Amino acid sequence: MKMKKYRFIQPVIFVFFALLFHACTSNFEEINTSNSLVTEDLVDVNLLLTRVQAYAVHLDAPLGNGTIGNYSGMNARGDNMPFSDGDAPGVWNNYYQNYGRNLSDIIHICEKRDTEAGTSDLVNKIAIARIMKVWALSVVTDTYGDVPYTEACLPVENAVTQPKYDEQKEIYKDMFKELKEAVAQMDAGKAGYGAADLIYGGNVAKWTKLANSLRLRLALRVRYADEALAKENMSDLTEEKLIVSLDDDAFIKSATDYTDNQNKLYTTMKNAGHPHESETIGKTFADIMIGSGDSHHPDDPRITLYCDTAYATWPGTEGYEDIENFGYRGKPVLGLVPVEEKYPWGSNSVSKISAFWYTPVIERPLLRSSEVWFALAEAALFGLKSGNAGELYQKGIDQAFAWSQRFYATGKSQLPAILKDYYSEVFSNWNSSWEAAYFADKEITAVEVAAFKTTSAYSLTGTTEQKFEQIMNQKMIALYPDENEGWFEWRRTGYPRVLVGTDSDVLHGVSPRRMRWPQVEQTVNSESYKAALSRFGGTDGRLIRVWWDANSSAPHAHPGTVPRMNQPWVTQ
Amino acid sequence: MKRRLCFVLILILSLAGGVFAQQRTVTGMVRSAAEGLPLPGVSVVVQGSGNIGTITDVDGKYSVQVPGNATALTFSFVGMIMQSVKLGAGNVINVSLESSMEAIDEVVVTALGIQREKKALGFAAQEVGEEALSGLRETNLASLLTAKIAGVQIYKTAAGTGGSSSVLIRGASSLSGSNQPLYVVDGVPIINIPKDKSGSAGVGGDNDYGDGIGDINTEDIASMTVLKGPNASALYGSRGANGVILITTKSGKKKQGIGVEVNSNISIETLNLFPSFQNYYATGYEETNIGGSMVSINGTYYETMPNDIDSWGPPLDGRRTVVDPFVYPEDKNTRTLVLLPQPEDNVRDFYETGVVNTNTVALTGGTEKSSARLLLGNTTSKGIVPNERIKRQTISFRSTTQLTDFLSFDAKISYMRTEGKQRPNLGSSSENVSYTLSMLGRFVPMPWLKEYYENTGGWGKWPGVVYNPYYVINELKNEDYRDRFIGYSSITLKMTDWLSLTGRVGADIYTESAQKTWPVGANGSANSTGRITTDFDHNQEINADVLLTANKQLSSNLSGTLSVGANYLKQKRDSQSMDARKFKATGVYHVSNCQTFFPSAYLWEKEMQSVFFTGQLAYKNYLFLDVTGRNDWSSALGVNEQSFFYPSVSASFVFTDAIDMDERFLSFGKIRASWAQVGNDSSPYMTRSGYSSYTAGYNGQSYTSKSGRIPLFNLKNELSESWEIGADLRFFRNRLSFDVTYYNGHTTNQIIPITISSASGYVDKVINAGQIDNKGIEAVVNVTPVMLRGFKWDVSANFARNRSEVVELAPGVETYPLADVYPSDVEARVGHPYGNIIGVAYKRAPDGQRIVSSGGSYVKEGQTSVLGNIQPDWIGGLNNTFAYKGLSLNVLLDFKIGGELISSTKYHMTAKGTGKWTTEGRRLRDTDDEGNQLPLVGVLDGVVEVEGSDGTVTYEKNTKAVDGQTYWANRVWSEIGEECVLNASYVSLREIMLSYRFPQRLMDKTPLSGLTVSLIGRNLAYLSEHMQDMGVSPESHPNTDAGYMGVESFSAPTTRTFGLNIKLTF
Repeated sequence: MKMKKYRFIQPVIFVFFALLFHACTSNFEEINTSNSLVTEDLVDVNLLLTRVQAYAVHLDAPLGNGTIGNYSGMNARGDNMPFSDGDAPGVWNNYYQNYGRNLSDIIHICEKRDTEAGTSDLVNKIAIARIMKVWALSVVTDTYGDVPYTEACLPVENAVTQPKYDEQKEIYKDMFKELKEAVAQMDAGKAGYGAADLIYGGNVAKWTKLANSLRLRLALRVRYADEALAKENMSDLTEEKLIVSLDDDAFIKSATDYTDNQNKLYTTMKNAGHPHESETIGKTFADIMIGSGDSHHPDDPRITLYCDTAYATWPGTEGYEDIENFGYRGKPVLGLVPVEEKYPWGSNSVSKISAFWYTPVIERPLLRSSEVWFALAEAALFGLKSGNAGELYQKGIDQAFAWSQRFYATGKSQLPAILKDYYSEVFSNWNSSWEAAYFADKEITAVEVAAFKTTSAYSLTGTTEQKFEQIMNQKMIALYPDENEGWFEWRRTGYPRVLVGTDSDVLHGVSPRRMRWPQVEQTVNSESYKAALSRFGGTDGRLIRVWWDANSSAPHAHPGTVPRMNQPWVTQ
Repeated sequence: MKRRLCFVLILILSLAGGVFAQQRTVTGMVRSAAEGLPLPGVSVVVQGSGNIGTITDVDGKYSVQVPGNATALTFSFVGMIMQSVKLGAGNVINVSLESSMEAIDEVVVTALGIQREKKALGFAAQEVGEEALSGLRETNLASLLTAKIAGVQIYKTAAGTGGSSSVLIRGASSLSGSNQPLYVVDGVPIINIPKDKSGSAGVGGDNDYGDGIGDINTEDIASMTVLKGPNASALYGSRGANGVILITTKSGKKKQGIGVEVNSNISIETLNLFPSFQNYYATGYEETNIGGSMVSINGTYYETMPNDIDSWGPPLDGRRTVVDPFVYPEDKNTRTLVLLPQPEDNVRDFYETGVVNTNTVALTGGTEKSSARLLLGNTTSKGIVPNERIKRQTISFRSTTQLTDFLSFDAKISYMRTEGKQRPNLGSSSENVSYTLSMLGRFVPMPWLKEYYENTGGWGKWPGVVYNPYYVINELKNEDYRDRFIGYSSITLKMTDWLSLTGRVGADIYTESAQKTWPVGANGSANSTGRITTDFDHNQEINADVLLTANKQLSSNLSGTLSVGANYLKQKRDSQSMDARKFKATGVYHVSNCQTFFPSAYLWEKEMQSVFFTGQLAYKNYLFLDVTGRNDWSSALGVNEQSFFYPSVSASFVFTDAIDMDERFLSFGKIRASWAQVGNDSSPYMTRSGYSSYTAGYNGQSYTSKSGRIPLFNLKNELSESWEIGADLRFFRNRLSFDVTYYNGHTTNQIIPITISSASGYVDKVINAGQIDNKGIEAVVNVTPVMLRGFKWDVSANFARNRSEVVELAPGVETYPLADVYPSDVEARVGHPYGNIIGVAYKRAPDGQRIVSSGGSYVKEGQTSVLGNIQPDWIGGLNNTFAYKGLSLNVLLDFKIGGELISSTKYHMTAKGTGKWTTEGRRLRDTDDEGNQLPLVGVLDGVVEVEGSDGTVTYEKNTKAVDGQTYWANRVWSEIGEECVLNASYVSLREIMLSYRFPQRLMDKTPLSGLTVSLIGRNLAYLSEHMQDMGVSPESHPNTDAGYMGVESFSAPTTRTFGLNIKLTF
């Protein structure tokens, strides 16, 4: 019996100890490598650029209907609470985490690959990534003021987890340097990104123009803070180096291959089944286009493209009668105001943005030629650069009109289906002849353009300050729907003058001059945050002026008071 | 259960066999000393001649063959003091056993399935036996532990019947890793991860598909033992760092012939708490419908009503309003409807009574050499949300066979199938009906919503309606199933009488699939053109162990056991999912009918190899010393850091056995102490960085993005270290007993992907740093105040208090976010307890009054501050059992005192003006007889700051009247987190159970051998709760992550359960 037992033991003990000491860990590294991992040596940098462009210029970009759009008078929020919003971590996170990181990576990988191969074949890719990066980070610094820059978005090996906040002045100096170097670096004989470049489809020459135009935009931005720096960066920018025609406009067209890629306003409307009732045009914006006319007879024919006329209620619905047409009527920026101040601005008595903004394929702008002309006009007006301000101003308007006509054409081909599906409930008299009348109303004809050119809006007149206001007003129309740029320019210049209600919220109706840094920075980057805070006088307020916001005489205070009513509109 | 374990042990011992001669038969009867009643099932073991034994029959009688060299008979029975009687010349031995109340010789199952006498343990282990488990129907097994084990917190998600649960033992110690204990079923670890790998459904809303432990049939459980600290679980390796819950399932009994157990349970669930609504105002703003203007219809003027969902609108005074043309109107001619208050609890009508029906049949059989048990279980559950159905079937088979006297097998296979349909959504998602109902405009009649859905099939673009709940429950389909096999087979070789070898392979393998569909026209941009998502996951965990155990009497006073073993663990999750959108043909719910596709695939793999040993020395059976050690090699760690070792040591001293004491006073006394380390590895793939590709592209161009995580190439293991001391004291023949433990532990070198400044360009960085300390006291007190003539009253109380401190995070990092719930966060902050609630407080004057702005709304502080902590001050349970003969009544109270939570429900219902509390400070916007508007009445309680000419600030009482929206919504819109941080304390009447076991003499006349009928009520009421006026339960969480234990977010309404349980044995 005992012998029998021990016969078992030996092999068993052998197997046991074999298991015990055969801790085979040689394949552990393989097990611990995700099978979906694309490593640095394998990655195609073109795919990184596409990702950045698609998100930065379209998917994450403002639509012209956001909170920030209120501050420059472009639009007015439906709930009248534009001043309640606190920090804007969306901008911060998107720009640093999504764009900055990937763009830095492109530069890093391309430089490494060029060095290893002993060539300079990838210079255009590097330069384009540098230009995109300047654009992205300029939006960040313009939004918040001092922000991480030199220590931001470094390659993963050198990443700084708690990057210091650089002074805006230093950031600007470096951005100018980057843009200049990128232009110098580009080589027309070498490849760009090809079709992966959603903005210019690989056209390297156009990137030079974008870099220069961006430099012009930024140079103008700093002119009140450091005029010499502004001048220095404008001096070499002649018209031929800039984006001066529609062909060179930097934009991305939304796409229809995925729902996310289409115009988000279209998607929202599609979900709701009808256009959103609070996509309202701002009073400031509408009034500029109404000009010397009245709400039924505006000066500027583009207003028909931007918005519809306002009715007291949904027009033409069966059972409704005696609908009052208010014509074009923008909504003031209200804030927390007494009910009497809100009564005149019920959502059915103000102009909604037109159906053209709801088309699935729409241009999402980065920088357009009209802006460049208005910039040159301002530079000429203030002697920062030579030129005839009045002529440059008109070129700006001409380009803006040309853009509107392109916008009309792109929209018109997509609109019939939209009108039928989403507006036929609103406009119950919709039919094909109605549709023809609709397009006739919206189209900007040569006659209308000629008529506009006879109005005072088309010629720059009055004092320098009045001329400046004209330039900025027109620039605002041309910038739409780029809310960010609209807000930055309003902060810089105080124009256009934005009518705000008797807001009793925390900011008392004063539009923010910057956004607060994301709250989370207080904890994840506290030392750097505190250092930056001390430069801002210890508070992270929205009314603190960033470095370039240095024109103390800019007319930021809102003019006049918002009309009141004792009860809602009653149609007779 | 304890009885059975002793019994099995003894049987195993007796089966080891021996040769004997000169037998004689000894018979007798065993009675209880207290009542004098016959005791069936008492083990009778013959001493001195190996392992012969028997048990007493139903009449307490026994008969045993005694060899000539036998010296004594020992009689043992759980709950009784063991007695040994020397064999004399007589052949009849009758004994009376003294009650010990708590069995001193209880056997508990410890690590690696090793059965130990409880008195030998040097660490805290608490057990819940079969009696405490059976009959109680909670669909999730873990919930059964609620209030029964000191220091164990059980949380459930708000998903209702099929939801996951979360168990936290001695507080949370890991920042990013799981804080869940390891579940070990019959020695084999099982997978207990929620379907969504990132930690179940979130606040943003998703479905909870239940967790691994929820699959285990409660009727199959013989006992559950909770090993609390790392001390107790060192031998389970890494995953035991948060404690281990050992589940022993029932097995057949040898020599017992065929037995049948039938258990049938039906329980109904009814709504307990539901948010309380205001019933005075419709949707809109400023107490009027200004958004819509006035319209003349057929000569009459009406206000129009915009599509808002904020309820700051006009009074529900019977006014008639025009609704926009898309709404289903009450009067189709004028497209108008009358605004009237709805019945206060109209929303309750949406819910139904849930019914859970469970039937289990178990067949057991046993011969001399083998035993088997077959269990068939079926549970069908109908949730309180209409259309929610969960079905679960279980088949399990366990067999043990003593092949020869040196070779035995034990094998078990369980198959479980869970099917779910229309599981409710969680969190603040419009697809969560609790959420949409909480937001519902108060004029909206529920029957209209239903009718609208039935007539139009649409989701209802009604003012005040986020998403028609009838559409959600009928049209947004979700279906899931899980096919799961858990099994093991082990073989034990008894090589000599002191050396044995066990080999075991265990596996938990399951496939789960979930499909969700959205029809064309559903709400949300991704869903509106029709959408199907399918997930298909295959999970497996394989454990292979060998264990060599030597067990020897070293000298007359010293005995020892040494086990040496090795373990191989492989975990794999393979997941394939498809998100397909845009139907080609409406109504065809198949991926092939879609036009855009977002497929994804995910493979998660980890391997671990370990060697370990455990040794015990026992001196005279009253002094015990345990030493363990384990070395792991984990694939998830850095290439040069894969190996790590950790030891433990514990000792216990039963001083009442060592020193002669008066048993009538101190019946039993033990002190214990232990120290342990447990290493912990990480999730895989933390050591390398790269690029992630996307399925989607842009206009024909594809794109990719750099990973947002900064990896750690040299990733090391985490280490938990803990010591504890404890005492187990029993007085007055065990009428009173205390078990007290003090523990002190810290977890260092945490593997955390810490959130870093976005400006770095990255989202997080993997670090090996930080320290969290947890220390606390656990106590269990058992008293039997009354024991008279068959009547017995037992009180069992447990209490636990845990204190934690985040000692250190990474250099320069002060905080680590644990849960993100707008507008506050839960985080771990250096120098503070784990789970601080961080947010913006009200700005207050020096006297503590809140400061009001000139506009009449509250002002917030400029910086965030600590608003609370999610951890309770103490938790406890109080269980009273009254037993008289076969009748027993059990009342269980559950205490959780202290701690705060963030109420997302309060946030939204305050922002939207639907909460009952928002009626304060509002009044109907009305005009007097002359047409002048009446002033507002909402004056916030607080002070305004007045700056004097000299710059000094004084405070004056606020007098500014504001409208309801400013009065209420502004506090949450302006992100004042303090408003929604609430006291989470409660006292819950957790359970009442009345059960009756029919007496044996009645049973004798039937084919049955036992019949027990129980009436059970669970979660009956909160005796105290600070959120009750809101109608919100502090116990409903959006998911099972530790940080979310401090979050309440639109629970499926809390329910009460009433059940009837019938248990039959043949």
